[in-house]
Amino acid sequence: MTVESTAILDLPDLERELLVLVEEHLLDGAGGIDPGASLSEAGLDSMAIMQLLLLIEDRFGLWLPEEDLTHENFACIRTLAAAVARRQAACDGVA
Amino acid sequence: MTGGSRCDVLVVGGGSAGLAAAVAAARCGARTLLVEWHATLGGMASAALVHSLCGLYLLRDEPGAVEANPGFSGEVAARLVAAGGAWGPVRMGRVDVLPHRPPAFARVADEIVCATQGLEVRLHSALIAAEGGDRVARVELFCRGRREHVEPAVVVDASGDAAVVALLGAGFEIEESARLQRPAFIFLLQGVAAGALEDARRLVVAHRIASAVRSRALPKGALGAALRATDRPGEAFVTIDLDGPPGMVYDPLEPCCLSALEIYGRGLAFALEAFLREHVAGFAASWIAALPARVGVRESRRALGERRIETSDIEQGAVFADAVALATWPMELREQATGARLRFPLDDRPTQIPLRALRAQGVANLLVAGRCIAASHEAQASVRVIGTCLATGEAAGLAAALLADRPAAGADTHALAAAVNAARERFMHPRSDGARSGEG
Repeated sequence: MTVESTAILDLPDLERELLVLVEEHLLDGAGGIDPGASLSEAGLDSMAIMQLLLLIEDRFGLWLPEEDLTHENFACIRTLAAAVARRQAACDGVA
Repeated sequence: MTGGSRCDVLVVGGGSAGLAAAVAAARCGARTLLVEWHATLGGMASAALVHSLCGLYLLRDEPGAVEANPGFSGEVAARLVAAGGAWGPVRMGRVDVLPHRPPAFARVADEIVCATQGLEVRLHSALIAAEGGDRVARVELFCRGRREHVEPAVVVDASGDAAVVALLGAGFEIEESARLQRPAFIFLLQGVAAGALEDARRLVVAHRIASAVRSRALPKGALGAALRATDRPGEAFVTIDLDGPPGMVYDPLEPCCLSALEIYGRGLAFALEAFLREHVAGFAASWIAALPARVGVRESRRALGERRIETSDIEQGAVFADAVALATWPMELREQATGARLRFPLDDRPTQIPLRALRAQGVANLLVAGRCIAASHEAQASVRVIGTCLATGEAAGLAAALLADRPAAGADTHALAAAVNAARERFMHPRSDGARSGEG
């Protein structure tokens, strides 16, 4: 885990980073997903979320706990970024 | 040795492409022989436990599935639904699929071939030799210690591995090991509690498996395991993409590799079964009810043809004067065993498949169908799906019958493509006799 990977990003940065992760690893050449567009309608099934969890851990040094795994959080990039930010803030507060 | 039995069209491989090719050739009037080394027809859709048919429908945003290739693929889908062996179409993300029961696919294939005049089926039989140069002259079949020679007028290579092409010494290509699409290992669980795979629960199951892999309670290979409930109570299919045991170099044509892969896949299946029983609500009483007859290889050899379907063709939705089928599935890249990466075509356009991609380069009487047609590595990740294999199989079978009847027709691929499309209209139309006989 690098220093950068644990740095807290602001929301728009987080959204951009998550978009890159999804486009590079899950939806190749999707041609710009809208951060507000439904991830499941974009073709991301619930099992691809396993990959996304590990990608998030890899990139942000953050393991989302089970209670964060809700359809509301994984609805779109925007809601996911907000969930990641909340969890980062919570972890930061503890540390 | 010389001589041997003769036939008009020999189809090698009884998966979805070979089934379609053999039925189409026979309905077109060719004396046809279909050779399959398993005891069942259907290939991936039966023996490998693939449980949904992809590529049957157009890509579209609007609700409602629209058939991409009316003809034999529609006939198979309709028969499966009528027999209670498929339910759908179902939209999954951006695509429509037809979930089906693998045993039902095998049974529907049996019914179709038995109702097809002029078609002889040889199960438990493998192709072990092919002789010829610019045409296939003779092939050798093998069944349980007995050899048999066949002299076919035309051959359709629907082996999935371009086996006829390879044995003949004709041209093929294969992607480097690290980039080959990873194979699927699919097994069936029963005894799953009602609701265990409902929408919200699926996320929890995904999280538990990912956490277990992270803490090394499960091997890394379990990552991306996809669970899908069937239409029957207590039943779910589990699909794992396999990288193989650590350190193995993946080679889908190498027997030691395939053996290690099968054993590794079964080991993973039982490890997952034990994990789910112990750690995931609703799975305490579940058990493995069926293992695949073999791992589902997605990509191996790709034949060289008169025209290769390029990656850009799928991206743009290419149009060809000698089109004989439509490919509609996105490029589903599975170079890593952790899950699929999907690449959708511009504006969800379908890609026309040219007959030239089904004609083996330099061999006048050899056609290719299914996942080993002439396509780039990435284009193959679109055309390999079962719905498209049914369509390329049908086209190759019709072309083979026409070539067997009049070899000179091979000189002009574009004219032959027009004849294939006319023959489909005449012999494979949903209202033709063969399509109706199994419904009731």
